[in-house]
Amino acid sequence: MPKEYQFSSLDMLSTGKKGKIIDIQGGFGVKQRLYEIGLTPNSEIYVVENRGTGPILISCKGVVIALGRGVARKIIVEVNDR
Amino acid sequence: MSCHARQAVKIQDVDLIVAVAGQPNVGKSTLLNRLVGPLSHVGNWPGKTVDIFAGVVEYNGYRMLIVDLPGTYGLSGVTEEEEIARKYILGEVGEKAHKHRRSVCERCILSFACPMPRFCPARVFGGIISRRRKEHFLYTPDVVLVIVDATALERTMYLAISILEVFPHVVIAINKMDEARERGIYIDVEALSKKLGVPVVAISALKKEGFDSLLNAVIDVWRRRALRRKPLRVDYGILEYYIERVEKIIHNVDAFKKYPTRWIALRILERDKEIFELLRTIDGKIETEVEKILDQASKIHNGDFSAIISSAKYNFISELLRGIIKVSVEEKRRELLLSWIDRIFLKPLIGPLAGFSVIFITMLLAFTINTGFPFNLIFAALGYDYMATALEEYSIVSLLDLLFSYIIDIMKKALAPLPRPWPEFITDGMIGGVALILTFVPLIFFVLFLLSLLEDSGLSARIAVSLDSTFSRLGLSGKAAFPMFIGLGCNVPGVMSSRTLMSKGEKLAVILATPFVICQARLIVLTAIVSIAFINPIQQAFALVSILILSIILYALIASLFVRIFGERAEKESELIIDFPPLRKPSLRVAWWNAWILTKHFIKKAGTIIFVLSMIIWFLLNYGPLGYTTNASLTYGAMLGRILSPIALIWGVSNPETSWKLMFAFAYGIIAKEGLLLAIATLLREGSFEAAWLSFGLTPLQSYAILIAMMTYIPCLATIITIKHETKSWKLTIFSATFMIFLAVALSSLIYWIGHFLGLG
Repeated sequence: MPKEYQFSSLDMLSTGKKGKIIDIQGGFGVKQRLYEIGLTPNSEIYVVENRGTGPILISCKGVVIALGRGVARKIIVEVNDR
Repeated sequence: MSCHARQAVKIQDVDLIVAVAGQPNVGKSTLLNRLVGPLSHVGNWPGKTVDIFAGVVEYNGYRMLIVDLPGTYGLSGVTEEEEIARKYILGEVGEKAHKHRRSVCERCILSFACPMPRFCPARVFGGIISRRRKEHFLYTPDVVLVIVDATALERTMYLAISILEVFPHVVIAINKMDEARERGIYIDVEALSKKLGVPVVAISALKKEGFDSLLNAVIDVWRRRALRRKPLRVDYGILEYYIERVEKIIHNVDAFKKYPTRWIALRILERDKEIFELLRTIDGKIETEVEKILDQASKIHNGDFSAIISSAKYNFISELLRGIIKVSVEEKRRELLLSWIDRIFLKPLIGPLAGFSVIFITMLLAFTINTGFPFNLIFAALGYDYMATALEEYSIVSLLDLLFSYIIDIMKKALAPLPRPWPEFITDGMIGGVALILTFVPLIFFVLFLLSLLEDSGLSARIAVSLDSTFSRLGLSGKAAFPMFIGLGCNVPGVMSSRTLMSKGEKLAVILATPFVICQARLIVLTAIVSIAFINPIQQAFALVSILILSIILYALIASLFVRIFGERAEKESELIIDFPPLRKPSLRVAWWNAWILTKHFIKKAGTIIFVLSMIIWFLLNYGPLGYTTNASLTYGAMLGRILSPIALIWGVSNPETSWKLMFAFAYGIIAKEGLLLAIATLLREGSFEAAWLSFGLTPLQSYAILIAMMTYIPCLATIITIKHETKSWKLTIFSATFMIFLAVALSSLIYWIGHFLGLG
């Protein structure tokens, strides 16, 4: 597996993929909200549903969260391919 | 245990204050409903649009005042709700109130929220208590009860930990324990309690399980029998060195003494706006020193300390829960699957359609029960006239109408001996005013009830997700569809439904946009005038459909314009970030109760204003310089119409006789559109509305422009008052009303003059 495929923005992860949050870009308010609902750096996430358009559903810390694509684009994850 | 919420709460009688906090969807509403019964509205948080609800519970001889804090994920203070929760727990709300007035009146329990503290009747007429202890105890919670969700423990514990960092007297209630057990989640409650040093109680709000232990734990903590005396200490790893240095600088600052120093240091590292402002006002030297430390620390994680702090808290939680929570393998797998209902809402095209349908059906249900609309029209169109009339006759509004016309008839007969204006004043003015308010009540109640069911079941989150792509183009979230669709029935509950929106900026934008959606009452006026003013059926259809489409376009444009103006910086990247809770059967009781509290509040607050204003308007329409008169053209209302008549020139109406009558109609229409047609006909003595309108002698283009103005300007008095009720600001309310009038004038004149120059006149 070539190394450049390991990092990705969250909106590029397809349904069923797992990953780990590396970094979140964006304004203070958005970041703070994401951190509070559990999307902190190093947390494991699982993509419950991503249809390529519209919001994406992820599971994190036992809770399913819906994110708009704009937000998802700002979340950088390390893809876990196993 | 007995509930005393219905009695007026007297502060002397309360032994302790319990603030209840919890993340959204943990079942706080259900718990409060089961524990306290109906809460009462006791004002709104100082300077905020968020309402405060409170109630009293009596247990083992102790009377507890239960204060419902808004649902928040943490205490960082980024949203209005978080700021409120944080300030209340820290006792800042109380302190403000303490400075605000030295004593506390017994009538308004949480009197810091009193809108007119100086003129509070209880204060003026002596109901004052001055015991310091009571005061202190009123404003700061004695115990904070944090509710967490057993089925999402790791996430929901975040708020509990955040609160424990600033306030040690906490009881944690783990709700949905029964559901968790069924799903294969096991939690060692006692071990958790031991580790945290505060009581942890397993409950099921739905089944009323564990309430006794919960209330006992609250009392134990209050009597300081429970263990924890100091705030919780979370290890922030790499930041600890800087926390210590900041602590050293600020530990002597008086303004910070009442808070845990460590917590203040953390807020400073997070660059909390409020704390920084406070710092600036105290001492510039301290500020520069703090800046220096922050500068040095900025190399760590690009200075994004919030990430480190939140991560550390979550690490603390997973460490805490290790060995305490056990989740079965099936449950772990189940978590990641969606139900077939979720799949429908997520499908492109079908999803948004499903979202719109659910809202639409909700609206249809509420309005059919209320007025028979729109099924009466559908039945009539299909030829089932009998069904249509039956539906209309047995709808709540027509039953109310029947009741009120009956009462008015009796009263008119009974009051006949009184001198002239009195019988009319009492029947048409006063009882008419009450009727005006009451016709809205069932509608508001049903809409709020159904909305609460949608919210509680989790359907609301699915709708928001399904409509997100459509509405995000306007800068709005999917939930902005609610006010729009409900507004098609009636603007009053439409404006009220804006409270389900998540951000404050979006809420305000939607409130300002909703009145442009043409409601049922205006639709009746519209169709009536269209059928008179245009002879050609194609013209009629065009006028009707184009004005309806215009109203929806106006809603979209205005909402997306104002969301850009009002949205705070964080919200401008207005993006969907919501929980997607599992679908569940909603509790009818909780929905009923939520709807009832808010409706009651509406009747009390908005009802009074609507009543008073409708009386003033009655006076204007029935009194003139010569005193009471039944001749409309001699009233103050008519005078007002004459003063305003030059406005009619914007539609090219120059006949003074027509223009004052038109303006009079506009003024009358401010109260409500329902009675407009009849009122114009009778007040102007033309027999029928058709005759009255035809006597104006307007061209089709003029009629079209006037219709647009009529549909765009103030929908009704009740909507305006509801806007005040929701925004808690007269300034915004007046702005909203002025904006509607301005837009009505601008749009209608633009259309008239363009049409005129194109030779369509």
